[in-house]
Amino acid sequence: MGWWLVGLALVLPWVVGTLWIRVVWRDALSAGVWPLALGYGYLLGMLTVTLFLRLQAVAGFSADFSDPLVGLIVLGAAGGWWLWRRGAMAGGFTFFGPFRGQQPPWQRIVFVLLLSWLLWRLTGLALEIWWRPLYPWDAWANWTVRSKVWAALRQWAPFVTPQLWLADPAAVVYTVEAWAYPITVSLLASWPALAFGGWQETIANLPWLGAALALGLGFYGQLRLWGATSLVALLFTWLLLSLPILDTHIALAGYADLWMATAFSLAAIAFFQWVRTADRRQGVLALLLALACPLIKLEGTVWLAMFIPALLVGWLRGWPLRVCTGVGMVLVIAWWSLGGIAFDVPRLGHFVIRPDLIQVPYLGRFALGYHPGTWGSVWKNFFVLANWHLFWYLVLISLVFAVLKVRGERWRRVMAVFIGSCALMLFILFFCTDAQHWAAQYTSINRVFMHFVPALLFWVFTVWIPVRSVEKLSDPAPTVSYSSMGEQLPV
Amino acid sequence: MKQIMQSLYRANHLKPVGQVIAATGCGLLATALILVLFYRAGGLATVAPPIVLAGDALQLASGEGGQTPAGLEIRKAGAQQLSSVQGSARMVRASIYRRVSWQVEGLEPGQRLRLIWSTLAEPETAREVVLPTDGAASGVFDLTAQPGWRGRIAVVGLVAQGALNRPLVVRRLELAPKLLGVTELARMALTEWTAFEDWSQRSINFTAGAPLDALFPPVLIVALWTGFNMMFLALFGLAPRAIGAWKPYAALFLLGWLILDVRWQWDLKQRLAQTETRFAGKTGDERMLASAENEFYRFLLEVRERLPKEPVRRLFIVSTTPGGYWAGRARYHLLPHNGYMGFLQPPAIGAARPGDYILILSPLPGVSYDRERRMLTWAGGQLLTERLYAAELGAVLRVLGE
Repeated sequence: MGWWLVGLALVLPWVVGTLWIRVVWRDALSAGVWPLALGYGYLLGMLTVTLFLRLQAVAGFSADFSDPLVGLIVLGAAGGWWLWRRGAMAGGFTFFGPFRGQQPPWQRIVFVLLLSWLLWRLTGLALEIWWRPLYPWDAWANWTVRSKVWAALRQWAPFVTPQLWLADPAAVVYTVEAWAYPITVSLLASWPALAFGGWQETIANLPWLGAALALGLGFYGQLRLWGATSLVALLFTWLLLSLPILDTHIALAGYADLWMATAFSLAAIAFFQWVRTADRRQGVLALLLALACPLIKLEGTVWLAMFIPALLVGWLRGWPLRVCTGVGMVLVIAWWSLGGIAFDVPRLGHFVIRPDLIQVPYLGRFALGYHPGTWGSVWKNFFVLANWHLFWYLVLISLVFAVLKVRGERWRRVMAVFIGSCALMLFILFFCTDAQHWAAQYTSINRVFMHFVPALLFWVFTVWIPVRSVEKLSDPAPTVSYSSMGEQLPV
Repeated sequence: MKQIMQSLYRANHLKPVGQVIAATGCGLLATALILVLFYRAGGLATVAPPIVLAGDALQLASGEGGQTPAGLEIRKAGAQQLSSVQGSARMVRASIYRRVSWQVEGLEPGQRLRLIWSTLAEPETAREVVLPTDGAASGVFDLTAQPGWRGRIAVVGLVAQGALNRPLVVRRLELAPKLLGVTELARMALTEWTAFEDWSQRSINFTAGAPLDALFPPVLIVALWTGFNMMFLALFGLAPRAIGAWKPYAALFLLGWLILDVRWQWDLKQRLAQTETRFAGKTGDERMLASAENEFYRFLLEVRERLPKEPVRRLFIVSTTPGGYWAGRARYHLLPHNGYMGFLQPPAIGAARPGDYILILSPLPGVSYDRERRMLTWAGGQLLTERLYAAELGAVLRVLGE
């Protein structure tokens, strides 16, 4: 029975999430909608589960599988009813879109070979998850400590600072070094274990395989919706899922970075789509997943902030944009000349933002200063070691071409601002703060960049592959029309 | 006529394919040539700089003396009339670093000077070779023929035997790469590309793909090769002017990526085979007992046996490295017992209460248990406890009084 419930715990959120995306994409005959629905659906479904579990904890109920299950069933039934009432899904289940008979035989052969290669890779990674006990350090030192306690006790035992733990005479609280980390990832590991009825490492790690599948499917679906042919979309999906550092985070499940990469990048890609096509459904997906980022990792708040400059550039035009930029620059100059600012935020803590120091509650205290030594670590990790295959070489070449194209369409400028903001933030983090040690010791430079890499790869795709109209599943042959589509901003 | 047209059509379509194939061949030759030239023309010293042990980098291992401006001075020989200095060789590869040079002043004519070293694989085994000093203060020696000079070198040092009539000053000991021949370079490349890297605790942070100090890191070499391929393709007249002409370039880039991915897949396959051999078909405790930490896990199973069935109120995990691997693993494996491992010493009186438990991970210097008095004692205090279990790896105790 336990294993059946585990299957239910993993499949039901997926089905519910997918169903709800199809509710809003009912009319879609476009190629890519099903993969998109499955990819984004899994992520949204699992995040919904964590919200149910949080509600259960807040309501004072014991940690249990049945309450969220009921919630999921209700959500699923509502979605199904809505879909049925408005007329079933148009287009049926056509996963890869029309390629049989419309692409040359060699493309079909390459497609099948590539798909087989990817399936072989994912099968191997799944077996690693299945066989290997929980392995990576932070997984057993932080993330799953809470999961294991909750699943074993079936109680939402609170986690506090070591000082409070020591001072607690009743000792009804637990402690962990990273007690202030968001609990979403711990809840994700707890969920199938609660369904199973006890702690089992393999079961707790299974959602990570789902996250990898969600990333691949969501990425593929969005590429198809951008207008990529099935072969090109699969080629770029292969580029993504073949990255060794990403594969490692799938095989050695337990870290939060895979979830962060999936949530942030799928949010960013939906944002790109929304900026280009003004499709509100994409805007909603971007918003939901972007808001989920701070719930996954503390850095998620910083990633969330990366949308702000791009949104401003998207919304504002002409003199308001210039005024906004000018005001921003004046504020920066004033901040610099005043020697920085310090302020308190109720319930958060003390903030210090000075030219020589940044202190943000929960994130840490970072002394500022340029550390050129990080270039060596960047060179080694991005261009010499096996972490990224040839990805960063591709990014460098793409940058040159992107500069030539950036004035073409407005959405390109918005995307460039987004990518630039992320790059600037990472530069400040690793070159100007104490986080340089994470780069020097190779501890997190690759992991933090990984959050952003799927979105960056999508941007690379937009640099190289011209915009085409989306293939319609009912069309006998896709009509290819190159279009700038530059003024379809949602403003 | 139709056949001729079809042949021409096919020839036109196959021409770019031929050009791509020719470009990859030429790219391969150019990559090999440039690498050989680089390493033969002095590039080896850039990639593998000499390890110079001088000043503070050298420590006295046997004898009496100390640092002087001239170098490490040994004034009196140690036990068995041995004078010895040593330093870290930074785990360099013996196959590359095969030339040792030294500057030692004060050697008597006929006094033998030996090079000693240990390897990463056998850190406890000291290997040695007599250096040809001939009374000279400095010299160079080729270690290629030494059977023990293999693997990664951990520690290297010099040993002089006999009483010292005058101080011996070790100015410098240097390990340097020896120029590699073309065959040796090829062998080195093959070794590096086929080196197997199993999962480790560092895997989650980075994947090296080859030794960290590789001469032929796969990503860099494939990038170089891909760059040459594209250059030759352009030289062959396939300039990327039109959008369609990008395809051969894209194909070359994807070929490079594919080669790296095939290599990564091969690596993953080997890792999976190791995982399968070790863990497949096992569950729960069986699986942990099959892991590298089986001995420690067995100890924790014994500890768990002595703890109550219900989660204990508080479990203080005490070790010399509270933030280290073993303390963290102990806490994790003993969950849901309410453990925390941030302790260098047993909890002070007042912090621990009757009914709390203490897990001590050995070795923990300065901490002892008096069975008669049931007293856990350490430099900062003592605590009335009952020892429930003790083994080589540690002990678990129940707090009886404050």
